[in-house]
Amino acid sequence: MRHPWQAYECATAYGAEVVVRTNRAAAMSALLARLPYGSRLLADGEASHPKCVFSVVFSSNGDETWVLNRNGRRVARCRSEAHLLEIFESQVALSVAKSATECIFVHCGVVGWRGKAILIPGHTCYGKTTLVRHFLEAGAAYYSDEFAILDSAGKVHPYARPLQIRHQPGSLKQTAVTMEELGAAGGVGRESIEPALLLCCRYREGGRWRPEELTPGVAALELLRYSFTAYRSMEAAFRAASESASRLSAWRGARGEAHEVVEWALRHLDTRG
Amino acid sequence: MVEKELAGELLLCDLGSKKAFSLNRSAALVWKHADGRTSIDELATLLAKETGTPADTRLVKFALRKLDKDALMERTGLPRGEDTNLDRRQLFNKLGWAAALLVALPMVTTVKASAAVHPSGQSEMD
Repeated sequence: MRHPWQAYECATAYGAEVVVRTNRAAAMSALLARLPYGSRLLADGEASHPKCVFSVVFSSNGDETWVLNRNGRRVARCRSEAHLLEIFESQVALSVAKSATECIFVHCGVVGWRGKAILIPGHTCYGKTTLVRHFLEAGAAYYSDEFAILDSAGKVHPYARPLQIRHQPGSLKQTAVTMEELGAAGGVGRESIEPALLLCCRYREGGRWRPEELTPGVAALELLRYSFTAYRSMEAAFRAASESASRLSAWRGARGEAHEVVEWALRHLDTRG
Repeated sequence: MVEKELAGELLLCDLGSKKAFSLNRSAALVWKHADGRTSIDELATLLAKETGTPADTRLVKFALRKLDKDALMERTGLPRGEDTNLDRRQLFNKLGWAAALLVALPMVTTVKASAAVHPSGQSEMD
């Protein structure tokens, strides 16, 4: 079938399928580069049921304008391609997170320590990326600063996009920083690993890290609380979250400086073995 | 409703309401045995045996109220009254066996999956 778009691709990631199309063929390679970690392009006829269609429309009537639509509804209108790409990346990742069928997505920073995962769930501006960055500086392996991807056996898979660092506390503006730029010695995790530690914490100025231990049941609910997948696939999310929670120790509390939590967590894991 | 036992707790998942619950050992015991045939006195005896605390129907009524609030009971049959509307602190003060209560006090934690969950959004938990 012919369509009015100059470029059209279908991709899959974690069982979710997305269509990307644009009236400006030159933009497609940049769009595909922003697809979620682990995405694979599908050949013609291979796509079965894409739930999300992203359309990027470029127009230059006087000023250049970029419009992003998702399933026919406008998501953003930008003056620059770079800005549109940022929004596209975030929107596609969210769509995949919500409609994934092979794994569940939890809003979480993740690092690996001696082959075990440390999960740091939380909403935006909770300080996840700051903690991830401090763990990396302490020698942990990078898994994700955005999503913990849990399979049905409760294992944690990597989602190693570049770290998105805020330069102003509370600001939504982020800058991508690579592992090389960070000088992280632990490298990037490539394999799925067992979860070992769940840290439910939120930054509070002047706070001290005096966490309370959570029961496995409450830990499972904490994972569900931050899961993007639970609304559409409640049972799968419930099973994956409870599997993961059964294998880790979970702690909750307000935190001050990140290094205090990092030192506590690594000591805790090293002692626990 | 999907059930899963986890280290003595009972996890419940209501696929209809998209809510998940974690019941501690005491709440789980009441939920499992509150079948419309087991009396509150019998539930109190079961709870006492499980937790090693004296049998007290107020603990059972507290659990039934919690379960009812989260729509985990079809009906409790409990009248509204002083004993059944106690909150955690009041119950703690009234019963007064501080150490034992930490183990015996029925607890239900709830989370609801939300369609609107977003990196900057909120879902419910209490």
